[in-house]
Amino acid sequence: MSTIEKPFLDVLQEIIIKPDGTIIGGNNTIYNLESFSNLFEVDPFFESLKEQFLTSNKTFFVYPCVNFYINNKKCYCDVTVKRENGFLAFILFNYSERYEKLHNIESQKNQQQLNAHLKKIGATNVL
Amino acid sequence: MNSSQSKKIVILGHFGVGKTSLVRRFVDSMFSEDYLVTLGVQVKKKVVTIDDAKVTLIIWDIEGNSSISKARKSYLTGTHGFLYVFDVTRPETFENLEDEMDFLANNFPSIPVCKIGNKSDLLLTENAKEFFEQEQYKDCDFTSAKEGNNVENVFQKITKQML
Ligand SMILES: Nc1nc2c(ncn2[C@@H]2O[C@H](COP(=O)(O)OP(=O)(O)OP(=O)(O)O)[C@@H](O)[C@H]2O)c(=O)[nH]1
Ligand SMILES: [Mg+2]
Repeated sequence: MSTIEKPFLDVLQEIIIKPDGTIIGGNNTIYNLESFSNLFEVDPFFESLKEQFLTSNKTFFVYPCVNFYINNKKCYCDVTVKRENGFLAFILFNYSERYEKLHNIESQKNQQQLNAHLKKIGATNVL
Repeated sequence: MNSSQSKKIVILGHFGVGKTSLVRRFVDSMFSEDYLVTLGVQVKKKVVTIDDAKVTLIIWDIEGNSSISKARKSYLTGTHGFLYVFDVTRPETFENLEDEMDFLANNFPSIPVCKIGNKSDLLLTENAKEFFEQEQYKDCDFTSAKEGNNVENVFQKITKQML
């Protein structure tokens, strides 16, 4: 297979779990989860979805730009969840590079606005 | 009461109002003057005890939006409570408060919301303090993530409303 045909292999992690969170398969491309047995214990993001899977009858969930800090490694991932019979498939796309760029742009814009505001209120003493 | 229940809270509000700072103060007892813009969502958790019952709060600290209608839908789904944060020194962050509350009432009926005026440490003049005594701000709570004032209380308050 040429590299052009597998552009997602480096950025994609699949995690298969039972509805109770037990990890039953997948790979460790972005995060090495070998030391975890339950996905709901890896990050509160996963834990918070537990109830949604139990109460919603949707089979497909998408969460863009989730900030993860797992095993001391920070990543921005888009997360897709597919509910199948008896298991859930999580797919994490590591889009950190793209999101870092966006983050820098947003940060500069917002910081400038906030700094300008703080300067102004410093002079007029708020409202 | 189920003693191991967990509740999802989403923090809403314009950019830079102090959403992340409130969460940091509440979860990690820390504050930083540095402004690190949130892109997307960062989820944190903290276990609180209310009337002898343990509640796990799972807090979705999302990126700032000038209007809730612009927030990503999947972030808001399945939430049990909202904290709507504004910056008491920036009118543009609370001028649309009524519209924002209408949006929540229409789209998330029966989900509790607490309105929070943050950066109360910057409310320095009597005029500014009187401004927030007006009728439309009567049911707001005022916090300072910087000094820690009232932060614990607002999380306790929303938790009680969610139970
Ligand atoms: N004086 C004062 N400054 C605060 C307070 N809370 C936050 N700040 C400052 O306000 C700036 C923005 O704070 P954040 O917590 O990052 O704001 P945010 O609402 O999470 O911003 P976005 O993630 O961009 O939506 C930072 O420089 C903080 O130090 C406060 O209570 N008092
Ligand atoms: Mg933030």
